[in-house]
Amino acid sequence: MRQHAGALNRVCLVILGILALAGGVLILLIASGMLHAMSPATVAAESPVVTGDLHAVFGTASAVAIVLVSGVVVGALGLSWILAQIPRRNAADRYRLHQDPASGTTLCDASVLASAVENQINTLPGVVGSSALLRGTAMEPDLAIKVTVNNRADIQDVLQRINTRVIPDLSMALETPLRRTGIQLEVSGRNAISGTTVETTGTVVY
Amino acid sequence: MSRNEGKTTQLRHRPSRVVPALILGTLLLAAGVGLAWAAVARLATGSWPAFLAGPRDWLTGLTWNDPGVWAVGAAAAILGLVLLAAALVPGSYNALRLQVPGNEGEVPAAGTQEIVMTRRAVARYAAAHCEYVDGVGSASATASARAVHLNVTTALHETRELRDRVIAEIRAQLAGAGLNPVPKITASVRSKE
Amino acid sequence: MNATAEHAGSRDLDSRGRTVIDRKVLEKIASQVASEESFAGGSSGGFLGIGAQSDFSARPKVAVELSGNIAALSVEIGLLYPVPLRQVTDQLRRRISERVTALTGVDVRQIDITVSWLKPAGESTGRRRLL
Repeated sequence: MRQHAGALNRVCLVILGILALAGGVLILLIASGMLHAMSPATVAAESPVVTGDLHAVFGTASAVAIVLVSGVVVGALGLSWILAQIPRRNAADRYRLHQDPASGTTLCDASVLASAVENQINTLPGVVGSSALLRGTAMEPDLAIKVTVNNRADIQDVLQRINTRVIPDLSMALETPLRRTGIQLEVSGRNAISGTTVETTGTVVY
Repeated sequence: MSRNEGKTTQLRHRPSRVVPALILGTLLLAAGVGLAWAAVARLATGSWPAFLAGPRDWLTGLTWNDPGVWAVGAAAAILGLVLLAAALVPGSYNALRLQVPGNEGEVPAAGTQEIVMTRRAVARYAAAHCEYVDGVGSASATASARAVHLNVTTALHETRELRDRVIAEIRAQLAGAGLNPVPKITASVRSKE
Repeated sequence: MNATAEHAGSRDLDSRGRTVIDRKVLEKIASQVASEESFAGGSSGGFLGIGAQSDFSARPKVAVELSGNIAALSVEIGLLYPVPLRQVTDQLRRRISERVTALTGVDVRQIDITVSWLKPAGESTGRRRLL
């Protein structure tokens, strides 16, 4: 249900991997003298790594500034990469359901709709628990639900009921078909909580 | 490094490489803090901090064919290969796909629909149904993206017939749950003695 | 003759005094009108908003901003689930505005509606709801 930084991680890892590999190969080529053999203009294997005077280079104010700025940039990149690992719900904030804001706004928190969906799913036979998450906009809503079913539940029946009751109800409430739905099933050994609600269709006699 | 807000990621996805990302992020952060601190120390005291003296002395006396340079180059190349492998080896999916008969992917009012069952859920479901098979003492299961392996203990001496029965039963159950394709099922039955 | 009548009328108006409608009156009226709809409810019980229960028999919370003869209302309401939210809130907006204007003469320009809960009908807490 939560969103991970999978694509970002892969891109960063590829970039860093290529940089490290290229640097390593370059160092090895110079060290073995192969680079000098290929093109005499480059450094020879016997020459020192540091040619200039380090004190003179790092003594200037601009060198200090460069070190400081690069330190801050590298640190910020590292920190933001770490923070991006936190799985995110990215839930929709609130849906705006009005046509003309001049005559008044209609707001509905996405979490209100989500808890209505959860309540409805929790009454289905075999369902132990659920959590729903709405993303997108009121015109193009995305629904993600995690349904935990009892390990003896009829999974097809639960899915069928979700598809024929829960989702159409949500889409009726929002007056638009959902753009995307995702259902993630979990299985639990606990007993289903349904049975507290009884559906009655007949006449009630007092 | 911000992500596309509101973008829905697939419920069934490959591993997101959190561990290498965290390790490298921490190293980058540490390097950044170290650099910034060194620069601040230089500004404050007028001299570079003492911990930079060691690397400096090492670097000034170094030629390119020094064994130390070889080691650094080899380490960097190997690290690069490891990172590329971590990024490019796809890894297995976290969940298995499910299908509701009659509506393949497109449900009216539901848009494009994705139904998945996590690997752990499949394993639990299979293990639970194993225990309803006659003759099974206890059962546990592990599931990968394509296969389910059952570990069954039984009081029976003849295990082959039981194994076939367990596999047939679990295959029927998983197919009935709507897993598509139905994972390959293997079982090892152990006699309790 | 007409002139005298008019004169008398205006004198009458002056002598009759003025009618001041408090904000609270509008709030009560709007809240009552909203709760008369079968699909709408409010919150009841609780202390300082904590532990309040959503209830179809309770009156929704209404706040009124009154400037002269023009009112802007904001309504916090619970609705039956599932109902088409846009249609239902539009209907509610029209109804509140009509009734408030008819009963008090105040011109309702703007009604902001916040849906604070959604609940199926069968799950009513407390008293039985009569239709």
